[in-house]
Amino acid sequence: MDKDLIQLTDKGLYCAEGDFFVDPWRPTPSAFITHVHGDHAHSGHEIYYCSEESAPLLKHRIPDAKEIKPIKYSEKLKIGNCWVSFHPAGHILGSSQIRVEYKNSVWVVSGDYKRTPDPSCKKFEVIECDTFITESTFGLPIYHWPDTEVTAREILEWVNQHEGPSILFCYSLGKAQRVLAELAKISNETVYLHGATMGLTQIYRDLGIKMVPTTSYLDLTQKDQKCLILAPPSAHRSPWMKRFKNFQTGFASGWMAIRGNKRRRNVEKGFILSDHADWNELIQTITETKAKRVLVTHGFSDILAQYLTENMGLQGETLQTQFEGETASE
Amino acid sequence: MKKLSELFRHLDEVTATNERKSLLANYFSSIPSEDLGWSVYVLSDKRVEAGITSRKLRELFLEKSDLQPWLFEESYHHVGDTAETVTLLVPAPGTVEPPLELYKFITEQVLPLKKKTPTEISDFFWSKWNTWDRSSIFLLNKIVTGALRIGVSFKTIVNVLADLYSLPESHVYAKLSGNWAPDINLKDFLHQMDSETLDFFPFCLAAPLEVPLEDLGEIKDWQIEWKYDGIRAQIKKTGPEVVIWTRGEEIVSEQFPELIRKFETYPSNFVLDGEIVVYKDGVLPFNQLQKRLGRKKISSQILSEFPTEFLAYDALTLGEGDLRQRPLRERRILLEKFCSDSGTLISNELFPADWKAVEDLRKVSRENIAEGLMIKNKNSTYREGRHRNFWFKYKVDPLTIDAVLVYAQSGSGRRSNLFTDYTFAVKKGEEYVTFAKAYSGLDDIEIEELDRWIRRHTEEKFGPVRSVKLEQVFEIGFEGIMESQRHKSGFAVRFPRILRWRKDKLVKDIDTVDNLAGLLKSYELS
Repeated sequence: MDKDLIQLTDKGLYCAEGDFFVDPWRPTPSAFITHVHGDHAHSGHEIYYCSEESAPLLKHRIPDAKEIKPIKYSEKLKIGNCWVSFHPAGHILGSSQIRVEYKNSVWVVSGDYKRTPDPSCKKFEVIECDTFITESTFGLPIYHWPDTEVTAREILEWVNQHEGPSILFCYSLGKAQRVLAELAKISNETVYLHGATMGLTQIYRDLGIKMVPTTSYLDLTQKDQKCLILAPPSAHRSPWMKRFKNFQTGFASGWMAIRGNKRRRNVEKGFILSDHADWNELIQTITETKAKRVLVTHGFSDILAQYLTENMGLQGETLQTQFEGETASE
Repeated sequence: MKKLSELFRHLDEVTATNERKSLLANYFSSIPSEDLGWSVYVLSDKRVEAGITSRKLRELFLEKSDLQPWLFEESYHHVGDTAETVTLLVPAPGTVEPPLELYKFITEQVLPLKKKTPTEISDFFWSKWNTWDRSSIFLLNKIVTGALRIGVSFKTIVNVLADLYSLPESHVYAKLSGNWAPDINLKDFLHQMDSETLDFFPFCLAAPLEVPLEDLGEIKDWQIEWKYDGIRAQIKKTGPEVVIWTRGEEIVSEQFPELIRKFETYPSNFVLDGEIVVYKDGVLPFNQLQKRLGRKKISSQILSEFPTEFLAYDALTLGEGDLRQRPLRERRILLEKFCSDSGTLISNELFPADWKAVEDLRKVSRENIAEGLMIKNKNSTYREGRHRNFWFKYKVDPLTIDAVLVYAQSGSGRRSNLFTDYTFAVKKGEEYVTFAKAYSGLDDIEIEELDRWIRRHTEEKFGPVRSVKLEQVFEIGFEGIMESQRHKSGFAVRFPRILRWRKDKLVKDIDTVDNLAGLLKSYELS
């Protein structure tokens, strides 16, 4: 059997024919980055290849990155003996699947992805391939996402019925801007942001993403002002919270679909909102890629791999990467 | 029922106890009176007897769904609750709301399921699963399988009902602790002030001693006793009836027939607080008591092998008099007199000369089959709950062993998708043999850190259990040790918990089975 085009090494996923890595977790000479979340975009590489929209986010996240090469979606680069291209993954702004072609074989590394419509990033594009590397963060049939527009209305109602600040915890890159963009369809109220979310939101704005007006939480004049505040999950129960009075808390994450998760976080309200594919989206996507072989990474990898093998007649295998997806802690 | 479904959702959304109480109060006052009994019944985690167990619910679901059993299992391990798993796996729920009245639904539709054919039962559930909305499906699944576990304690329910009907809390507590049928008019039932009710008193609890002994002042103001490791219980005699009620809020009279017989013959009424222990010329360790706990039938062999005694340490009522507001020094005098008149065993008072002598006593606790000392202020009244200044427990340091993590399993409920159930091993020659499972001792941040490590260092999977690389060393504390076939090492320990994550230690540094044997030896000698 031929050697796999992309292989797992101690530094990360490696393509020998092109001599480059995809989302490596240790310093490498040449790294192709699917998207800018911390478990995929690590510091210390010599050259970063990423989508055009990822570039400013990457610069913000890793200011000392030596060299960043922004690549247009669908543009084919000749890297070593391979053709490599970026294609939208629908996960966050700039998120990409990386397609690698060598001789007659096409591999796609999907990074993180979702199929649910998201006004803050480009829609997932189906790329047919022989081998598909998929995430499986929510790879259990219990996960099925509700309509995002319904969730956005719930958030708005939740804010409106409370006489005081409503603090919503969500990732500062991706989730926060998605919430802001969804809200823009139904509201024009200013949303206040935690410091960690400010810079990233500005980059989204600069790239033309339409969102509700935002400003820093420092602009709040009263501790108990009725408003929506977005903050990263790490701010929950930190001293930062002392700035507010009579507040309620909520958390926006796919994990909120399970009662136990919500109780463990001890927030009052859970909104089911994920930037990852749910079970049906995973199955749909894998089917559409027409891949015969599917390597399953972070999440419920062994479960999804077994399902693909037993129920769909595919060659499902697990791949032990160090990607974390939407960790339950964040 | 729709209101209960709403209550359910709202309770999930508030964390402050007071807010939860007001949600409950609103709910109780807004439902028809026939719904009250069933509501309290269901909220106290009692099962509506329709013959539907969790296993049955799973079968009903798998029979007609396309899902393979293994995928259901995996989902269940992640969710940690069958009723919720089924709710989430129902392929296409609808938007139909359940009927308004809970009692009608339960009595007319759920209870009759017992007499239905398998097909009728299946049709019943699938007709709801295909048309109801998910939150109502969840409630239905929870009601039939029992244990709502909505985070409302029995105490909270008692408190809310007592408030709502302006009744004394202890009365409501006693009434609801007894046997009552959910289809009674609960409000009237609670208002009946009969003297025959099991009027148990809330236990007075001790706080761990967290200050130096000297800070307690003069030793003569304190009563010092061994803290025995048995079952904390109140024994109540009313007329001819003797009932035993535990700190775990259970009536356990049937489990201790020898104690009932012994107290039945006393002429006067009383409520005593004390400890149930196995006793043969002296108190025996808890592992002896454990051998007869949880048995449905107490045979004469058990009675002779593991005879129990009640060691009294407080008198709450004697005759008709309620002594709880009198200071401990007075209660003690009355208790001593009662015990010597009646031949009841008493928890002996120790008389150390000074605090230094108290410290010395604590060090020999294990030799005295105690887990430490109780230090009670002689002026203390018998209050409800835990009080920081009057009653203290001063426990011995736990036994400890450094062990390596070998298996991890995800928890349930609050921790359903994190690995929080750990199995630990010690060395035996070149092998590693398990001796304890522990669920607690790490904080949330450590749990998440360890969870991430486990995911990356899994070696094998056996269903929900993962074996991991032998690398992480933990200091495990426990209260007792015994020989047991439960674990490979041949030992089992009591109340194991993680004391510290020893990142400074390597696997080669951990303890061995010989260390466990040594602990057992010193523990048994005591």
